[in-house]
Amino acid sequence: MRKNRFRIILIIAAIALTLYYLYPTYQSGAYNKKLEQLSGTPKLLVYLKAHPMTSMPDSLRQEYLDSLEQVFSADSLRYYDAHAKEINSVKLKRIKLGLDLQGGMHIVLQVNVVKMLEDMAKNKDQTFDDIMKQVSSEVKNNNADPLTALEQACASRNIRLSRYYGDIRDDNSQVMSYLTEQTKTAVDRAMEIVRNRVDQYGVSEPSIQKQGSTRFIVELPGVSNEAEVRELLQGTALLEFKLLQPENVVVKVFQAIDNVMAGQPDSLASNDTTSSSDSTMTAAQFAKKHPFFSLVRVNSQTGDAYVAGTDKDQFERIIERPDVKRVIPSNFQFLFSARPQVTAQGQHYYGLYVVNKTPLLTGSVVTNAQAQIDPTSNSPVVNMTMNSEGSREWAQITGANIGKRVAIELDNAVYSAPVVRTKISGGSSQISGMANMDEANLLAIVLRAGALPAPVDIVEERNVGPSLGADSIRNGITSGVIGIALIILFMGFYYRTGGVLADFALLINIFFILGVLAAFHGTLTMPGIAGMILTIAVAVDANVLIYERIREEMATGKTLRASIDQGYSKAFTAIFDANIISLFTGAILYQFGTGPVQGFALTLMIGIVASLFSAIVITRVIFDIMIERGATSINFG
Amino acid sequence: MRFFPRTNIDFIGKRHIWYMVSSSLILIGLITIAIRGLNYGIGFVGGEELTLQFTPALGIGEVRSAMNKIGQGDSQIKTFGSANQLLIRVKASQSKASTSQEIIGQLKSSFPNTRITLMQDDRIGPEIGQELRRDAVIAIFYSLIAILIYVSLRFQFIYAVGAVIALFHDVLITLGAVAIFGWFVPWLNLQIDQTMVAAFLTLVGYSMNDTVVIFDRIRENLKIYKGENLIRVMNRSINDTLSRTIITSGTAFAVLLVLLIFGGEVTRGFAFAMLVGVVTGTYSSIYVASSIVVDYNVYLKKADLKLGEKQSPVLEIERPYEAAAKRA
Repeated sequence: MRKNRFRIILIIAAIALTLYYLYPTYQSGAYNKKLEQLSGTPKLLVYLKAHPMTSMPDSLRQEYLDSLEQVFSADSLRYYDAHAKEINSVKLKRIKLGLDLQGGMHIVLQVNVVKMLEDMAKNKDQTFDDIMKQVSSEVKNNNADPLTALEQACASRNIRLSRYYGDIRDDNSQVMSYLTEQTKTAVDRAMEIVRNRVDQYGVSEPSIQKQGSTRFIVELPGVSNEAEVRELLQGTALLEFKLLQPENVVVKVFQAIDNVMAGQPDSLASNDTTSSSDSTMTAAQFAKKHPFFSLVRVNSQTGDAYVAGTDKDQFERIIERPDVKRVIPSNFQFLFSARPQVTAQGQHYYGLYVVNKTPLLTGSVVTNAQAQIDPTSNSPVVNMTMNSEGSREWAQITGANIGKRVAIELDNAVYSAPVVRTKISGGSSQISGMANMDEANLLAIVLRAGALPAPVDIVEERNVGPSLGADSIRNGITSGVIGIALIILFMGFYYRTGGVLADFALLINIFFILGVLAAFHGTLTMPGIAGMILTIAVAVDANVLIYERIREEMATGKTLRASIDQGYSKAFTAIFDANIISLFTGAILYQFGTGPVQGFALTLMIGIVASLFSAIVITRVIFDIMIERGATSINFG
Repeated sequence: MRFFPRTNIDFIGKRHIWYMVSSSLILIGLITIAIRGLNYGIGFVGGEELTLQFTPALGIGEVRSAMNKIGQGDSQIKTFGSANQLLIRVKASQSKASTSQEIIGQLKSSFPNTRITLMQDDRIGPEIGQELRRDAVIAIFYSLIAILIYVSLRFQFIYAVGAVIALFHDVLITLGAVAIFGWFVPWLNLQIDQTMVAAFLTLVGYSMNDTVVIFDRIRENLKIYKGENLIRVMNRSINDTLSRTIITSGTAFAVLLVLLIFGGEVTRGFAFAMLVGVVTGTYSSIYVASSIVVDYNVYLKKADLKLGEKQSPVLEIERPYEAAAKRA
């Protein structure tokens, strides 16, 4: 027992960790089930059975059904609102399903560098058009780097790059480094625009990742409307400057909304004024008395308002309520900050900005924006310049609104809301107050988004409908269950007691693979399921190798304990060498594959390590315990 | 229970016959590929492919004639999985916009009484295809290099060469099988895509697994029976591990067969390639990898491996308990 103590602790720890990592996946499933039960669809079906709408014309039917569904969904929404934090936190920790299983769109976008070079050039002439033609054919046919192609095309015509780009006095290398920098920021800018819009679009768990130097991948689970998504990703970015509504007016409107909400018939009880004062109220009492202020937190010193990330949906629904709408002035617009502030507890809070609907100015007048360190205050600032037409308007606007705040809004999200200090004439403004250089860089990127739209092409688009995903899951489960059952029956039948132990190790192994997948925030894909089934088939190999050895050793007349010792130690080198190589191929596959294939490679690698652990360590410990308990023979078939 | 009680099969002695069999199989595959070409998935060549479900089912002819009206009549159309699902591969178009919306719109107006559901729609630019193809080749190349180095370190260089030649053998035969079955059994929908490449890398890993187990036993037996005839030791080692070889390959084969039958369209190509790979991987460990090590010793190192007149081709080891039984 003593020599196995370490191994037993290891096994128990592994099982405990697996349980810990798998629990959120289980919980998330339970929440989904509950929401599904409460959702409108099943109730709607029951209702429709009792009230068939035979007389309704088809044109009205869909609209009527939608409104009915909304009515029936009230319970599910209420449940969601009450448990939003828990639901979202387990969602982040569960095993995610790949797009091929849950349906959705996978899109690869590429910044069109050739187009960007064309847009950026000045003094365009016939020669330039010829150069661009040559560059674009080089890029298309020979996969050349656009910048290098441009440099060569110019060199072959004895033209300096500065004729079209940068300052006329710059030499070629200076222009090239400027263009390289511009290309890099163009990708960042395009990603920022897309990220912002995807966030606004309200997809749950989108993913946006850079791939190589000019591409990025956007994954939108559960989305299938191609036309809408294309518009979302490729439409021109809209950058606007909007004036913030005065604080005192905003607070009054908030109070009005709060009163409307608190005055609802279902919360009449909270209207009696005899209850204790605000400071001694519990959170629940406060929420009942001030439903709006429990959602929107107003900082009494700065007047800034915040809404928790999990409450954003609820907020959007409240301001759409007809009774609430009545107390909101028509020129009010509610916008959220693009990035949340994260509290020490890891909660996300978005700034709530109330702006004037009519923009002061659109971002197309911005010619450049750069993040810099201000030498006098040694803090990050963004310097923004405008064209002459914009400068004139900007001077007027800033002159009239000194002391007020202007929100910088890109596609409906606010990136910054600086206070106007003085009248700015000459078109060159400085924005300060950023916490760090990253924040300043982001703001500069956003300001330039209006200046030069980054032309992006969709180079890859994969759209999986939800029904195919459901089919795949069903097929995966069916073949997994049949395959595992076959192996379990065979092993038990062929190796008897030893086989049953191997089966036990196999089941724990499946459990481990899922646990590790959850711990790594891995994604389960259909090839991943295939990989898991295959791993299970090959996982028994380690036990087969060991048992065949034990049988051989027993045949030479050795004792049970000696046979088991020898079987394990002699089989080990073969098992080790064979699996190391499988790990190599798995790692290489992970490196070169994309999407679902990476999921496959990941499950394969996890499976190899997990199966070695369960086949070698777990079965061995059980055999040792059996022998210690006095077993003199174990049936290996 | 034992499927294979102590066997004494002369595997290595028959190697020349099996060299012929292997070469002919590879040749048939290569000829098929030369004639028919390989059916690449759109991931590797670019283009657009959509899968639609029709309730009730429509015939391919009906769909084709409807698509003719928008100039897409020459698209490749075939059933995908069940009879009411059709896979339509549109010829790669120059225009940036997707043609799927246009096709679905046309089909919906041509067949107003049919419910059409989009199952899947993939559109891949040609530049991506080129890169994926390059990456796939690099991935397979790197894994072969990694195997060559590892096996050389753990065994001997010639063993690594034998193992890698065996892998080439497996990949070529499987590729040939994919081409032949893709030709004669169209409903398998076999095409070279990313999942298929994953299958090839996995079968490389699997085949290697099998080879290493046999090499490991050869290494061990060569240490025990120093100076023994290599062919006799090899035959002994292969016979010793035969039971394990058959059981592991058998379970893998059974599970892959289940996956092929019940796994659905998405993993069918994968399961098929792996199924072929498990068979050739098992076979090549014995008849290619081990045989090449023997022939290297015979032809290049001029080792005298001729068996004595009364010598059995398989090294016989008398087990102590058998000796005891004989004495009794």
